[in-house]
Amino acid sequence: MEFKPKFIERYSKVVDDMDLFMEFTKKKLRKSIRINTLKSSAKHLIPLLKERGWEIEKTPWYDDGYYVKTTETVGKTMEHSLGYFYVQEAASMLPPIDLEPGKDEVVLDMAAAPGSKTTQMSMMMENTGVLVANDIRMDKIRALSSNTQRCGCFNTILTRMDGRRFNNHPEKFDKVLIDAPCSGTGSIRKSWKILKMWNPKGITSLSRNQRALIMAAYRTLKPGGLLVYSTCTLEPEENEGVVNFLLENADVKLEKTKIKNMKMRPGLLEFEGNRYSSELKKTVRIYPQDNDTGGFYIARVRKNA
Amino acid sequence: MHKRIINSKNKVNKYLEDQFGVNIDLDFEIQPNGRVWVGNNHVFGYEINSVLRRGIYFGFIEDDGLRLSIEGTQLVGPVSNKNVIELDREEMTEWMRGYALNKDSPPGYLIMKYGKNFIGCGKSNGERIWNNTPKERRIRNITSL
Repeated sequence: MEFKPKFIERYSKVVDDMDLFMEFTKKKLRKSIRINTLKSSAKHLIPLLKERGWEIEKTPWYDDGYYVKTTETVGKTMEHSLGYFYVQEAASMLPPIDLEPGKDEVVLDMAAAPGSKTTQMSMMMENTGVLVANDIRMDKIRALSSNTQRCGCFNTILTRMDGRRFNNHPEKFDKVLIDAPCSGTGSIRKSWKILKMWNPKGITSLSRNQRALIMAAYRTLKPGGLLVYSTCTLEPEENEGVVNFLLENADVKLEKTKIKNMKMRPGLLEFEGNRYSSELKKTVRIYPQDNDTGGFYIARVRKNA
Repeated sequence: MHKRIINSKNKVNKYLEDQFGVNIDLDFEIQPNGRVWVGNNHVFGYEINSVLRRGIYFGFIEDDGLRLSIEGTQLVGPVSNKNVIELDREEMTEWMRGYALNKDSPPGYLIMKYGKNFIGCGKSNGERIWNNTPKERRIRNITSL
């Protein structure tokens, strides 16, 4: 599989070590799981899996995340069926870590399907409070429903609506996660199809939708509430461009994303003639070559009280 | 709390008391079709539009009792000391494949247990335990547990 010349040209302006970026983007992702502490524990599960010959290594940035190597089909094991763990890409565990959903809070996962981050947040909330898991596509909601069921997330409410409709639910949530629908260039390691389908022309319409979603998230957040915006793309218009739009149009401030033991780069302040607020330095870009994960972008935004 | 939720909680706990000798301090919602959902004490009262589901599927009220989901057995099993059936490895393997078991057992709904794991609910006629494990949760090749 080859990179399109247009892709190389564009990403050379985003990433300074482009060769390394391409080298890692071509590499297959390491398989990782998250222990579901609603049903099991590392103490119980890890020795059991090791006994069966699994090679297991804790992710440096998250105590419940583990890299695994096994000949078994991880998603077809008994432990998976019983909901003891969730197969989740290591970098996808980061947005909930940044949002820190706590006990008894009211939290919205605006684009929740298939439920990796929903089930992680439910676990972080210890099944207390309310976690509204929303999505718009019914086929994806089926996966969300089955994953929240399997993981025993009984603090969840599943809703189906266009995320932009949360505009009509002002000041309802303590915390909101938008893992926005995106062009997915950080997930090429997971599926080469993304690179095949990549077209910079689609970015404008994605970005328009993301801006509408982040404004709806802002409105549905209580004063003083916390919003985490994340994508699995590295396109500046879908990341810094969207957060910059929020900074210009809403009463918010950015907080620095801090995740221990993870190499992160600051958000861009300029791309192809578009200049972004210097505050965007507080947002983070995660590149495949930095931690051997997929690529991600994360911004942590506080609504002023 | 909504009267409907209080009624559901009382009704479900009556089944749990009769069948498994326990009460569970969670909220329940019984739908007209007999499906029972379990949630914490916030989810059923929270006001929001376009709801598809609150909490998770707990079980189904049949004519002769409450049949628990896998998650239902995982919530009830650890505190129950009645009608919990311990399986050996061979039985567990058959169970997870979705097969019924020929096993002497008390008639009625039973919680199936293997080691520390609660793996579903079966209905026994005294000699045979019928299996309701959903297809997508069945495991063909057990190398685990």
